[in-house]
Amino acid sequence: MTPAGLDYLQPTSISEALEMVSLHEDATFLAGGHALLPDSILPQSHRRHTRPSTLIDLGRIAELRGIEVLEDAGSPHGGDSGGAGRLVRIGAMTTTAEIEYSPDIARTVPLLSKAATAISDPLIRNRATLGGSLAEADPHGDWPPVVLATDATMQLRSRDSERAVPAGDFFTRDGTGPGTGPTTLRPGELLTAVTVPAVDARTRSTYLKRMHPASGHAMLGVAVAVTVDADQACRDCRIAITGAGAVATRAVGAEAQLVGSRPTPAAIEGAAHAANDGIEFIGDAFGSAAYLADLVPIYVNRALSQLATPSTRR
Amino acid sequence: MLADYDDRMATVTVHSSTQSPHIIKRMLAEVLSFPEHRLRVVAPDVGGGFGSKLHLYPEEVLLTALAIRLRRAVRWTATRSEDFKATNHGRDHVQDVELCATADGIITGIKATLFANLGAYVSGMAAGVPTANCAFMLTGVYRIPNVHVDTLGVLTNTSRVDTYRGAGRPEATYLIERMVDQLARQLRIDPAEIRRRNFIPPDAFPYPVPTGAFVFDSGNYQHNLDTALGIVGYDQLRGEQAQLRRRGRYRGIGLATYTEFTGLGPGWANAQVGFSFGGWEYARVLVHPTGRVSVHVGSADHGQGHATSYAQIAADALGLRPEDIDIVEGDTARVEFGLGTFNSRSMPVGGSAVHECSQKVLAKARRIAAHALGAAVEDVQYEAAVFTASKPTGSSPRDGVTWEEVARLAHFVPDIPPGIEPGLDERVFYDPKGLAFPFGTYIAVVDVDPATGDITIDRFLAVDDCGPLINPMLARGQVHGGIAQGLGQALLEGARYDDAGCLVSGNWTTYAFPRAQHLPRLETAHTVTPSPFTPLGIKGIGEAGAIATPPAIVNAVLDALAPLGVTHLDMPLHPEQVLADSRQATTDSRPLGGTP
Repeated sequence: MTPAGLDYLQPTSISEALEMVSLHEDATFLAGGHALLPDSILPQSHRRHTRPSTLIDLGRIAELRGIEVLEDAGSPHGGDSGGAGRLVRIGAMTTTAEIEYSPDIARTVPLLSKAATAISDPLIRNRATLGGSLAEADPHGDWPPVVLATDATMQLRSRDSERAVPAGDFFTRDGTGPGTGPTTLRPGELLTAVTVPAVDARTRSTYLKRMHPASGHAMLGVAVAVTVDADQACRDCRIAITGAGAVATRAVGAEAQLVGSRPTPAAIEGAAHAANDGIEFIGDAFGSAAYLADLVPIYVNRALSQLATPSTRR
Repeated sequence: MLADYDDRMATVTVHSSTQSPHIIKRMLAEVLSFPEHRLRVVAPDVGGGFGSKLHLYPEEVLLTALAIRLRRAVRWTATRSEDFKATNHGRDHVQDVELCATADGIITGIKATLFANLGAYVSGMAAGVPTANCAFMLTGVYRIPNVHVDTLGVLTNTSRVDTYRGAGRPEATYLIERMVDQLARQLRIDPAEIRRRNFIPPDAFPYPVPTGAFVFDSGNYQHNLDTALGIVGYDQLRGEQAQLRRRGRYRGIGLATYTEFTGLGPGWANAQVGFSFGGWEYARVLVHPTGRVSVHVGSADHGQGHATSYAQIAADALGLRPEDIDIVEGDTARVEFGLGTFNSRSMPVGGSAVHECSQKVLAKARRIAAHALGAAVEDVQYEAAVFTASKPTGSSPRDGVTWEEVARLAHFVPDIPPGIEPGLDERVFYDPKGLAFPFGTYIAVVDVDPATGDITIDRFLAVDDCGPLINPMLARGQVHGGIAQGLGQALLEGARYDDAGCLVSGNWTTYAFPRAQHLPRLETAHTVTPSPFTPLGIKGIGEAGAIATPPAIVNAVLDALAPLGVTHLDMPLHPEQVLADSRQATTDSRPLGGTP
């Protein structure tokens, strides 16, 4: 039952990896393997029926790894994002555990630290990578809603080009990326890094996860980041939901309800009511689409209410 | 598993992950018409069986046949998905039940029809689970004079359904404990009080059940219940519950008081559940010339810790330390006879065999020691591994003789006492006098979130009575594991098939089993009521947790939702279902018997 006819390549640089993927038809990048191996490679793979013929392991590419705070970088996002224009650059092969324990991340984008602790168990966090999870775009993944809520940008490279795609455009329903969920990743293209704007004390954020009782993935996950101005009115609000549909999505209707007003219980209630707008719910045996539609407003409400409580700021 | 044919000896050795190597050996010999004495079955360190590894599997027959045919070793490893599909499933009952009682809550009769799925093929015990194991236990811990049970085995196109931790007693306990709570609610009597009014009283033991199937050996249910209520602070919990209800919080307190049978068993009891062999267990206690002891037992450890508990029993009986004793199990070439580990029988039956065999060895050692001391056997004292004569013999060359010396004398000295053979090596086939019935009280305290249907277990207490404990830590481990499995059944687990009959819960992302985050802190305690039927008074404890936990949890959730008028929920209690049933009950009608 050992996988037969599988080529395994170990590039040591991004350009070498991109060269390899252009030469091998039906090749797939291996970025930690916690989705790809059980789903497609190992004998008991059950989710996918097609299997790549070549694995390109990104584990030895040093330039894909690491966390860097870029002071006063020329932000591609433009304007003041609250963190004095600083950007945090996280290499795609950075592990969940490295994000979890990074003091730089805790200081600049605490939502990432918080979300990392909600992912699986320490053994998996030591191996699973940020980029792997995002390229996989599992509809029940934890990182997709978090990069949406933190307004992150995906840095993509292929042999001949380079582009920066905002998270909101990366997860698209009509995408044809290689993962379980649809992404804008093109054949031969590699996610090299994620850049995230740093936040300051005016932004509060949280990630509420409901674990699927069988898989342990997010049966539902709500990532919320709210930025208030000096008189406590909501200036910016990002609410992103995973687990409910085919792809993680922002609850723009709910966000619009909140922006410009103070996050009072009534305002939060109003936002929560609008949270289901635009979601095409997909359920399973442990929670039907109708049940998920019951849960989303409750989770959005609870997440926003947490932020309104001073003791749980940030 | 691995089947290996030895061409030179014309023997087959079968390594299989089983709870009953001797039974598998016998069945393989019969099915394949292969001489049983040239078959060897080895069960290595088996990491859990729970009844699903008790019966013969087609793969065991096929591999052994192939090894004989090919005259070489044949190996087979199941994938996880194959294991999900083809390993025996458990439970799967639909139960219709009526309970009769007087206005003051005295139960006078119970009538039930059980529809039990057997799957597409009949496994080793299959129909015996819902009939003998379940139907005969429906009256639980209560004195119910009238019982009528119809059991219908249903052949379907699912996987085989057979023994699974508790095997019939969980189904029976769930039925009666749900009904008793329902009765309490309709009569507005506290669930603890209604149990008190119906318990079989302590002076009624040994108690023949009304079906005539069993005689309950011993019990003191009231004391056990009171102990549990005291530990959990029952009256205070009820007070808090009333306060929380006024604030719109849904807290529930669920009780389950159970009994079950362990220690299969006397031959007649085995025949009742369809086994065509005696229920004895085999033990051999052999003392090496060094004084160290090997104990061979026919049970088959698969996680219970027999190497510890049997060593304690033998060490106590022989006046030695547990570390002086080695336990040998799970290999038919090393342990000549045996039945295996199931029905929580290892301690009550295997442990009794070890105890009696150790006593037999000690009796012989005492005779050898008496001879060496020049004393009469009845004058020999044995303490701290030294034999001494209680009165001076005058002719005695020495004051005392140690265990090690006796072991050496038994093997090497020509001057053996007249009338006995050399060696210290005894065997016992221990035939149980009756089944042992442990009992207990389980209490769950839960909070139900009315918005999501989520169930949080705030407290969980198990007070078991399995007679004297051999090893409290191992007993607690059994209870903890059983509770986890019971919680899984109550809240999470279930095999699911699609409309085409395909199993759709065939991997760990679609089958929910209890993990650490699903479990509350578990509180355990014991009362001790010895069994008159076993030499050490011990009863089995391997299955109690899986038996009493589901009704405790479901009763607690129903208690929590009583203000909404919810009177029935089916396991597993998935939050979505809890929410839907709560909404249905709220819109449907007023609660039965008025507002609680």
